[in-house]
Amino acid sequence: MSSIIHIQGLSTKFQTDTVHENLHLRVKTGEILGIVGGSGTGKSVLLSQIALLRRPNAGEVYLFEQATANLSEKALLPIRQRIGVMFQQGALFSSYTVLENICVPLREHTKLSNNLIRELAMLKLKLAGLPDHAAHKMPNELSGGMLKRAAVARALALDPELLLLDEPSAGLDPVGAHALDELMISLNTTLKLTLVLVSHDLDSLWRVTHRVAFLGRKQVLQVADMQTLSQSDDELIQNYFSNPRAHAAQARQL
Amino acid sequence: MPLDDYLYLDTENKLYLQGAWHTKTLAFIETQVRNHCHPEYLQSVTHIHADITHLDTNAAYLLVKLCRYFNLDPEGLTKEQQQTFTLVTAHLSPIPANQNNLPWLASFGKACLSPILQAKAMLAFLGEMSWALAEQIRQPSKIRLGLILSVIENAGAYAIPIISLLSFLMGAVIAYQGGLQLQTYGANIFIVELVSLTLLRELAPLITAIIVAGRSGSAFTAEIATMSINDEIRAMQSLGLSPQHILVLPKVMGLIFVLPLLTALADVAGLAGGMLVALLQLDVSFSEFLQRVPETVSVNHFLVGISKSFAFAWIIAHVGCMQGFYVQGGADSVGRQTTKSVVQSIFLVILADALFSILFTWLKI
Ligand SMILES: Nc1ncnc2c1ncn2[C@@H]1O[C@H](COP(=O)(O)OP(=O)(O)O)[C@@H](O)[C@H]1O
Ligand SMILES: [Mg+2]
Repeated sequence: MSSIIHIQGLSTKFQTDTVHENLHLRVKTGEILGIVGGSGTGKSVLLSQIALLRRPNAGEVYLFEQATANLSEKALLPIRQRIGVMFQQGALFSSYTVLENICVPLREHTKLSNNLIRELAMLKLKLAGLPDHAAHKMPNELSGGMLKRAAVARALALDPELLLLDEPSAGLDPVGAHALDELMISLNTTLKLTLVLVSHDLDSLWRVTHRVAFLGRKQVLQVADMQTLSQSDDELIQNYFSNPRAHAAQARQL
Repeated sequence: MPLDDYLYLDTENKLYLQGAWHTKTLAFIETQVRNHCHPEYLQSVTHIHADITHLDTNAAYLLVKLCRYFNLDPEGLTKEQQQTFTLVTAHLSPIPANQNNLPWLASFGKACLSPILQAKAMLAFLGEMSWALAEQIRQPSKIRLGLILSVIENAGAYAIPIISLLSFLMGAVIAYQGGLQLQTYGANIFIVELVSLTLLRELAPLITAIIVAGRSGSAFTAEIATMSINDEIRAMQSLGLSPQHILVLPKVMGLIFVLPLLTALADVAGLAGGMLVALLQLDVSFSEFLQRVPETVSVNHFLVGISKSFAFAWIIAHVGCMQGFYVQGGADSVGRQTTKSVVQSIFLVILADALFSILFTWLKI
């Protein structure tokens, strides 16, 4: 099976501290990969590097089997269009309605007629599981769950092959979080979308992901399914999975 | 009959779809469908046969529309394409009517009502502010000196350079333009009255107020509006802190303290500008100029200017804070609200200036 993402020897530095050092990761086409790790281990930063929004200090990121580290900004554009990103806070444009938000990428990158663009935006809104009346709401009028769905809908606008989600279920009620899990699974199975999600929600990780990459000590320590990962020998990983909440989540799955 | 790259109509009226149907190519496909989908061409289509390499949801939507148009089911889709097709079919929904788009009469009514609502909001805020002020006066120990000082620093001290420079230029310009006229009558010395009267009484208070409204009134609004959007105001209230006492009163007091001082500074800088031009253009020496000011210009003019600046300070702080609290919506509304605040406070400052003119004429000051 081919790798949609292949990260090789990636290093990330901010002024004083190093976030990633010689990090390797492969994501298979068509899978759902989770990324976990303690707070501040650089999950969001890694995601923005995959989304080509931040360049690595060293190393190479292959996307769709294409090296990206030395590409010009212009050459990155067509690759970015194949990737949808849902940011941690949703990041909807606050002066546009939900429908207009979904229209933005379509208007920017296609020459479709206005009517078709709006109809396609409406389709994405429904695919993301939003009710009809959300279309003309402003982002600040939406609940947390609806906001995340709207962000997913916008990320889906151009029918990307790869969808990156940063903590999709953070701050959601259990019903909303479960619905979002189902949405991710159905996007993966019906649209053959590859999903990479950063999450702390262990229930969601058990339910949704095929494999999970554990970030720690500036590297990816292990990539495996949840079952294997939760029995890992590594001390950091054991710590992460050996608390009561993690056990409870596991028990619910088995 | 070949239609184009993506559509093909054969002699038996079978419509063939071909090529890669995805978002990137969709614009071409849409044009082709549009160009050829009028009745005379395609009325008689009996089958839609898809032989396409890709089908994503955006393209599937167009396909669904095409099929609905002919009332046919597509043939020849692969299993995956069929899945996408079914998925899209299951999620069709017309765009609901936008209830925010009011009919013109309603918008007109709303627009007429808005100034009244604004005035009402201002009065309500004035009430809250006065109440808080009364409380503060009863308990002077609760005055937040640190916050007041920071307003004095930001709105006052840092505004000194820009206000001095602009008033200096203002004084120079008035002296220059007035001097041209006075010179023709040989009445050079009257430049003193001209410059000092206009500056002390009208222009210095006004220009200072306008600069401060632009510099600090806007900052007040932006600060409070951002806090309001982040729920910080409500957090304050829940912690038993009064936003009026912490956010509003220090600004009002600080500005009331500092704007008269800035106005006096503007007076001085403006006179300096006038004096320089008087010397260069009209041969009125500095000592002549300075002697004549107290001789001919009553101190009342200066006091009128300063007293107006107290009112202006109140207006700027009032509008600046109020607009901050009345912000609605997301991050973008902070900008809009700030603009509104500056426009409104400058408008009210000039309006108040006009009212003062009437009042002082009436009082014969
Ligand atoms: N723009 C930035 N400037 C400096 N340091 C940053 C910046 N963005 C992230 N960091 C640092 O990088 C580390 C990883 O951040 P992040 O990826 O957001 O963590 P998380 O894994 O919780 O998502 C943190 O220690 C953070 O302080
Ligand atoms: Mg993060």
